[in-house]
Order: sequence, then C-alpha cells, then structure tokens
Amino acid sequence: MKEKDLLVNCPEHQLILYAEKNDGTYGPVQTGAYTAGNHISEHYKIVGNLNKSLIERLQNGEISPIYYYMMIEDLSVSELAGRTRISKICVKKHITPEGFKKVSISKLKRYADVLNIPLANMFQIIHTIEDRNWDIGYQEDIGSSKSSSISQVNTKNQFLVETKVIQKLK
Amino acid sequence: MTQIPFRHIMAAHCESGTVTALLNHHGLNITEPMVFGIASGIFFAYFKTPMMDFPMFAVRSMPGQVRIKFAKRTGVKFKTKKYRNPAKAEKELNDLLDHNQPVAVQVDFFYMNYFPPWFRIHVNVHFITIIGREGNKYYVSDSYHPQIAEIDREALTKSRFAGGSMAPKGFMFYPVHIPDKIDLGKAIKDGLKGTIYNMLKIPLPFVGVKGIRRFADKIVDWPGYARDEDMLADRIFKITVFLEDQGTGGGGFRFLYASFLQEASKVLNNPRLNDMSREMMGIGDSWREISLAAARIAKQRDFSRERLMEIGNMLYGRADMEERFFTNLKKELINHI
Repeated sequence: MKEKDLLVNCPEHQLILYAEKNDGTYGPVQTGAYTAGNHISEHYKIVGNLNKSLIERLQNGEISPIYYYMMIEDLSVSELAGRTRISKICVKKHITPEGFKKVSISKLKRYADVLNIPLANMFQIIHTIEDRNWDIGYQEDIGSSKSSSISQVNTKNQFLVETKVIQKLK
Repeated sequence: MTQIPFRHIMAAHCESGTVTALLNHHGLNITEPMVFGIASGIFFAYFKTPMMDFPMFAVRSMPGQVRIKFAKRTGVKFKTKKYRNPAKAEKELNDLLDHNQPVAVQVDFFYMNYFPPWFRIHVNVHFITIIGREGNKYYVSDSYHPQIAEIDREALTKSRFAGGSMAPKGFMFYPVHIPDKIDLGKAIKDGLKGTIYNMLKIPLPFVGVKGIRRFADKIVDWPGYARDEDMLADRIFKITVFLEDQGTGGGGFRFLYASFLQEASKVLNNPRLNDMSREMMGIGDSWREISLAAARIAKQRDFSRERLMEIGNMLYGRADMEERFFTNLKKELINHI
C-alpha cells in the first residue's frame, strides 16, 4: 500500500500503519484510523440503539441492572464472572430480574467495581440534560437561582428509580 | 520525581512497540518490524469455543510471545514479574521508576482514559511503558498515543489487576541484559522458520492458513450467533477494526511483516527476500480489501448469505495466497538463506 492511499483524516484517533514510501522503502506512517474516520456515526448508532432498548427493558423489570451494565461494557457472562470472581452459574442468575433480588450487597459492590459504576447506580437510571444554567454536583449554593432541579421517580421495576433533571417553567 | 528521559514513539502494535522502545532506550538500535519479524509475530487463528458468545479471530501470535521469542532468538534478557498483591506491585514499580528504570506493564486497555471512550474496550493484553510518576499520577509511553500520556494511580492499579481472561496480574517487564553483539542473521532465520511453522505446520484446523479457510467456511454462520442486526453489524465492523485499526499496522499485520522482510533482505544480503516483501505488501493490500468490504456490508446491513460469502470467497483467496507465499518462503529459507 502506498503511503498516500492510507491517509485518513481523524485527529481524535491517530495510529501507525506501515506503507510504501515515495522512495520504495517501507516504513511507519502516522494517520487517522479508518473505522473512526469513516464509520464512527454507525458505531454511535449501534451503541445508542442498544442503550435505548436495554433501558426500556430495565425500566420494565425484564432485565437486571447487572445485565444492563454488562452489555454496555461489552462483557460476556464468562468475562464478568472472571473479573468479579463470582461463579458463572451465579452470574447467570444475577443477570435476571429474579436473581438480582437475591444478590448480597457485598457481591453487588464487586459487580459495581468491575463495571466501573457507583453502587447506587444499580438502583437508578440517571437522565441528564445539557443546560448551561445548571451544573451537576457543583455550586449548590446558587442552585435556587437556576432553572432546573432533580427529581427521582419510581419505575415498574421495584428496585429502580429514574433520576432526572426537571426544567422549571419560566 | 518526574519523567525519566525516554524517546516516545508511536508504533503499529503495543507489544512490539513497547519492546522496541525499551530496547532503544537501553541502546539497542532496532526497529519495530525487526522485533515483530524475529519474534514470528504474524499469525492467523479463528476461534469459537462454548465459552464464547461470538466467534473471533486473531492475526498475531499470543500476547507475550513477541517478547519471549525475541528474547530467545537474540539473547536479550528481560526481568519479568507477576503479583498477587497490588500494593507490592505498586511499590516495586515505584522503586524501579525512582531508579530511572522505565517499566513495561500489562493492562486492561479499558482504563487507559487518555483515549476517547469509543476506542476503549476491555482487553487485558495491552502493553504500556511507565516512564515516571509525580504525586498521584504516572507518565505513560503508550505506542497507540501520539504523546506521553498521564494516568492516575487508581486507574493504573485497576488496569493492572483486572480479572477475567488473560488477567494481567500486575505483570511487568524490562530488559536487564542486551548482548554486546547480536547475531541478527541467525535471529531472522529463526524468525522466518517460526513463522512458516505457525502459518503452515501447526496441526490444528483453526490456525495458520487452515484458520483463514475455517474463517471463510464459517462466516456465513455469523447471523446465527447475533442477538439482533445491530450486534451483527457491530461484529462485522470489528473485522475492519481488527485488521486495520487495532494495532496491526494495517492489512492485519501484513504491511508490518512486509517491512520486516525488506529489512531482512538487507541484513542477509538476499534480494529475493526484497521481492517477497513486495509480494507480502500485495497480500496486505488484499487483506485491506476485505476490511473495506466488511465495513461496506456492515454499513449497508445486507447480511444475506451471498454477501457474507463475498467475504468468505475473499478469505479463501487470501488463504491460497499465503499458503503459496509461505511455501515459497520455506523453499527460499532451505535453499538460499
């Protein structure tokens, strides 16, 4: 492959490919990644669709939060079992809504650590919005002058609430 | 302390890049393709085990083998260590850094938070070089990152002690002995011999050229493993990612191997190897055609048997090409090298 034929414009994801230089020698070329440069929107679409369908199933109590995060992090049951050091048989149970009811807090903490979330997120879905007048977790003292507040509402899933930003009417 | 003076260079592949950078740091002038070629890094395998939700393929040798084989064939010695205790691993890493020793560590790529989120996946066999520390952060030379990066202590520890398949267990390595004179010619010959064995002779139906043919046979079965169309599209896109963007140097490592053959032809003074490097570059181009075809099919979402067989037929073609290539390389090795 000639150097010029490999070049992709993608500053966010640079990599090294080997190609034929102008003088006929082969060597490294720094360029953008082909997939990220050409198909990143497809990736976002796939991840977005997966997230949407999983959230819906989670709200309806059809899947367990452990299953949700396992899928989002693209882990298999075997991989999750290996990482949490919880047996595969137990993981298979815990990813069902019925099995989730029986997970001990200490095991749930192990799942949360491996899935890189706070334990509390096993029991809530957080919806965020982009709002310049409101900063999550910051400047609490000026919160009253802002246009939004946080609300937690129950879902059909008895173990789960939705945490979301409510925009006040002006 | 701050950073150890270390020449950071990007590389095609994390393991060969890390080994090369460490050897360069210790005064051995060697390139990534030479490290990769001597270590017989080029490979092919197609896997589907009951433990796996979806089939996968590999275009390089087992993680760790680049360092092991390169050391065996050149006489370079690496100090290696695994740990059970994260605190002990961190202390020993810090001690080495404080004595100006850059250290390569094995990590779960997911925690390398200097990369964009969409690029980071859970894979336990990424290699980086730690080149300094300051307060709660470490300085990292990562072959896939354009500059020296920083990672916080917590993320580094988590990445070094992630569980699951091929868990890093705190693994680290650094060179402790580089021979005054390395017989590069002999190392290259051993590397060629190892590669020929890997691609043609391993008596397993899913590795080497046989592995490429198995992939060609089985790709039409992929829709049966997918839970939905999105998943299938994602997995077919991953053919492109694995061949081009995930640290292969392009064309599933074939371009990198062509560069090795070109360098080897000069070391061994064998012009025929230079011709073969051109042939390997052409094989790399044809693997890239598969990458582009896979991306097209995934984007168009036409997963009919006929479309998947297009990729299958291309794979059969690459298997034939590589069988011819490595058979000729074997003849060349026996007769002229």
